[in-house]
Amino acid sequence: MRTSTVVATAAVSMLVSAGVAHQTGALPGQADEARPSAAPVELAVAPQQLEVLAGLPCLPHPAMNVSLTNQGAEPVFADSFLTADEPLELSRPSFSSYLPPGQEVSVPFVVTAPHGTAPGTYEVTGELLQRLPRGDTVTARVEVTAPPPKTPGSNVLLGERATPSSSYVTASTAFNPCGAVDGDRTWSHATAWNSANSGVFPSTYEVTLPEPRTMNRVDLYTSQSASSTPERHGLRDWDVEVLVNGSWRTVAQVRGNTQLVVSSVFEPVETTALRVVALASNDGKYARIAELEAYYDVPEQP
Amino acid sequence: MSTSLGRDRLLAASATRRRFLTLTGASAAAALSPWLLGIASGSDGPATPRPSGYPFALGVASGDPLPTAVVIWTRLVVDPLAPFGGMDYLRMPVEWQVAEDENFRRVVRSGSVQAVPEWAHSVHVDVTGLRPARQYFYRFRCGREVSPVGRTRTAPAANASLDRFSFAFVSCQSWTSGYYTAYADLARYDYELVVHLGDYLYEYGARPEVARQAELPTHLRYPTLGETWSLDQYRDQYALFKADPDLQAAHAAAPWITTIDDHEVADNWADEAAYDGEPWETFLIRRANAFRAHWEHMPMRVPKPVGPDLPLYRRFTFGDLMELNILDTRQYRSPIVAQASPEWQDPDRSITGAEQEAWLLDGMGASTARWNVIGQQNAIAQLDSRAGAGQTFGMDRWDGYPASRARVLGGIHERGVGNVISIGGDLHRSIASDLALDAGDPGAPLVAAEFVGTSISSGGDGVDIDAAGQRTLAENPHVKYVNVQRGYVGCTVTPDLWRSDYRVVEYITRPGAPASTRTSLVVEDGRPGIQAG
Repeated sequence: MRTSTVVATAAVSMLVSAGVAHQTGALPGQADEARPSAAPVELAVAPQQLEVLAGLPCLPHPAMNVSLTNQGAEPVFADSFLTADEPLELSRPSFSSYLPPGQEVSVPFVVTAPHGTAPGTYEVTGELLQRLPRGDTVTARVEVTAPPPKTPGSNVLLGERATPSSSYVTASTAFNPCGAVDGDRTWSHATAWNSANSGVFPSTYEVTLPEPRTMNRVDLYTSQSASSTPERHGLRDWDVEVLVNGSWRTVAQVRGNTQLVVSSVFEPVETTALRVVALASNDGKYARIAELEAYYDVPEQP
Repeated sequence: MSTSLGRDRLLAASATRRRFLTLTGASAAAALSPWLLGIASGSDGPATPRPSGYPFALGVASGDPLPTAVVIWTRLVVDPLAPFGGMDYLRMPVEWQVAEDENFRRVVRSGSVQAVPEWAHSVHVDVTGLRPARQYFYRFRCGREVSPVGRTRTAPAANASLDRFSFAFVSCQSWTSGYYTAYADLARYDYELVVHLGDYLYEYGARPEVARQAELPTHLRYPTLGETWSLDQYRDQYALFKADPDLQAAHAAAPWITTIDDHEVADNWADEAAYDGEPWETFLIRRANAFRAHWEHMPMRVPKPVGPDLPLYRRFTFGDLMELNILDTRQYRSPIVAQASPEWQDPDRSITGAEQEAWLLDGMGASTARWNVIGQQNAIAQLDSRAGAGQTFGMDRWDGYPASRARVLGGIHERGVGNVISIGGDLHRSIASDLALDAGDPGAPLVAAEFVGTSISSGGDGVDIDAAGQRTLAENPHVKYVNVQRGYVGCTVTPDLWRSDYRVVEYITRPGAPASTRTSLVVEDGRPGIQAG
């Protein structure tokens, strides 16, 4: 990326500058950081033990909390670092905050185990950051268990990774990108998906599967609440597409819908990803899916 | 987690770096220089910690120009998307140089400082002993790595006779909304100053609807676990925003004077009051976290924040031509109330706080400058948004604090301060207005002209005018111009004439939009009121 020429240019100029008066001026207060005081800060991670399912990133995961407590008499800032044994993933890698005296300041974080993580015990480590010597560390145990196997009659999309083209967010409201595959058919911010941009179609909601699965039915639940109906705000037109050999194939098309739930049945297909391409809603504004489910209805034996 | 975005952007920043340094005329013969090997500096022994990669991924900046001083800034980061910028938790020595020429043949000041991890390896040097109204170039070195070169400019001497000054003002740069094409345009011009009026940062984090489709690490995505709240999260957001090559180019092109609006902390906060109902005890912790990260990332001369307090209002003079009063209308304001509330008209309510208001009026009263500028966050102008009878106001603006507006405009009028210009932001739209002593009285004397600039990116591509803009024009006869595209305002100030050029870009959800001047508006010396340019 950088060439030796670039560095050399600067080096020449640095030599040329020799003899110019040096200035050590820093801004007021900058010098006081030269020697850090041993801040009496306590770091904790809780709970000490947590159970996590391997895979299924869109199912609600239990949170851990990392906390910093200032045991001294003066306010301080503290930095901490969070790590986990491979292949666990943490939703936040660090936690730094202002700490008034005596007040515990804590934030949640989520531990996830990717699909295929071997069941067993793993460690999450929190480290209070100081310059040398290294700061204190604390650990918590994470028990990873295998998810229940998906049987022929179960919803193959449940909890799998969802990637919407957009997701509605304001200062006070945030729809959960996972909301349409979280196993909850309720229309609410936490448990449903709403596209971000009014009037922008198509919007897509894509679900990626960790391994190929067969399906022949997709059930789409759109929005309904005490103050709204599918006729007013629900999804009207959409295509259902599945990924086969690297290409998207349309397996169902729905047009003019006014119902809460629509089942689309098609020939059985084995796929690694499914997406709904939302083309229109009944209010003309947003794509709304409360829950998206896919099944393989094994033909009944005569 | 993929860091492909970070890699792309580092590559883009690297291209910018190469371009600038190529201009300096490289000499490969110097490749064996001991400076290159990093062994020339006596204090730089073998045990001196060094970053693990190129540490200037956030570029350089300068700010708060005085006649003989300017602050130069950088923050050591090897990976903008990694926690702590991918830096070890160690002190790092950083050398700096200021020169009269971009080849650094005439270095006039230089020195070294320690970048410390507790302040996110940020470096602020108040370079003193400079000459007024001069262009300078600056750069940093850490270990073997040399930063991009920044260009800055000192202010003219306090009473120097000045026949021209040009500056740009900007606001509202939501990273997720789109590209900073307006900054690329701004960086092409020789503005002597850039004023940022707030919403440099947004606390929402990187939303999934981003125009800049990108795979970000989990901790930068929203909503992982709610809004930016802790210090590490604010730092991460600044690093994400500041990794942008267009923003870096704008910082490297001119000194900036910055202040805050709400989103540097949280939406619509007011002093100790959070808009979302967070108790003040924890909101002040959040504010302290936000302010520390803000200080770390801005080229400001203001002292470091003390807990949740960061005094930001300050004054800059540019010869005998212009004085800029930069305000903070967040930290000391009365609570935001509903328009229906009887408190709305309470004469004690203030958007500035009493102390800042007195400072503003006393300072303006004592000014000897030809043009007197108030740099504030939104619109002082009354902006009724209801069609027809009745009035509806945005209560987060000066409209929510009519007593404050009356005292400030009345105070300016009483003191006979002439040629007053208000510049603002926040609205994500350009609005130019005449400010009368009483907006409800067509016969009231004009006190000032106001130019509210649109956003750099917040709000998406935008349109020339929308229904709300038409209403603003129809309901508010003192409003002379509305536009709802993205951009910034370039100002050319002479003793006889103030000119504001509204620069707009055609779109921001894709890079590379063309920019143009949508309109030019002027104010004549001694004749308050906006006219077509």
